[in-house]
Amino acid sequence: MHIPDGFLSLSVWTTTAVISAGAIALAVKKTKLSEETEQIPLIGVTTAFIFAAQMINFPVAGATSGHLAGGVLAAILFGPWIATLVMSSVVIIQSLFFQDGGITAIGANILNLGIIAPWLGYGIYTLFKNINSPFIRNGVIFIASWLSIIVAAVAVAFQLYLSGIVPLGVSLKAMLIWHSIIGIGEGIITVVVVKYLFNRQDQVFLQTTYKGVPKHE
Amino acid sequence: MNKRLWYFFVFTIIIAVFISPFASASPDGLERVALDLGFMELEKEPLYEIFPDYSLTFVSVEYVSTAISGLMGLFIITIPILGYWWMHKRRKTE
Repeated sequence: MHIPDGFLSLSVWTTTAVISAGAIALAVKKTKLSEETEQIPLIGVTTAFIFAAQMINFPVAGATSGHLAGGVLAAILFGPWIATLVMSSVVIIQSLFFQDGGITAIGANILNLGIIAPWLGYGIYTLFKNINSPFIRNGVIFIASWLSIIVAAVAVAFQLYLSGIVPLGVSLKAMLIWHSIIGIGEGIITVVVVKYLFNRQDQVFLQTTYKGVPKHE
Repeated sequence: MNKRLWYFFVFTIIIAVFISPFASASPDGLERVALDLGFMELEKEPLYEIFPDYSLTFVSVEYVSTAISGLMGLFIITIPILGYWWMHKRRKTE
């Protein structure tokens, strides 16, 4: 869902760049990584995983392809502030080094994948955080991840519309059709990875006292 | 770092280096929409290219080209984070 250079109008890319820069500054202020040293390796590995997983496009309906975005995964593991930083790093590196996502579109891509998606997904996840049934909890994580892709797709549709490229209805419909399928992949991968890192005896997370990490079991 | 995290990291290296060359080359969701609605030609060439589309321009074997790009991506991400971690670990113990 990375927007390339050339799609967004000047006013759209500058506005989204300002919003994202502000959000990153706030996230840096809110997360005191220097006090959470023991959390850093896990954040690093997760960031690397999200980058790697974003390279793996799976074919969808013979017409398109999708890959993990990872915002909700990062938000469930570390809370939404760190998720914003993790996703922003990935988007910036992809754009600067791999020409995946335009440089002028960095702000919009961070807004969609690093702010809107993880915060919405995390909001849904926290609403049902205290449910003990693993089945329901996995269902919630799946739906939160799927919806995060849907809202990000809606955000892209609005940015295309505001840039004067396509009418709103047309862009919404086209974006939602494909991303409602691509989002299923997001849901499955997020459930599996969260389960792997959380729900076992040797939990990575029990070693830390990090406040942003929800306690499980 | 415990065992589980190491496994997760090894898995990450495997997907970035060995599995990424097999990723689908079909247009992604947004590209599909841009093609269907006819605004794909608005896309501008990037200002410069380092690993354009996860490839190395001077490596002709596509598998190797993508694999090296994946590995470089992991370096670009993990080296600064490791550096930051060591810096703070040292500061804490001093």
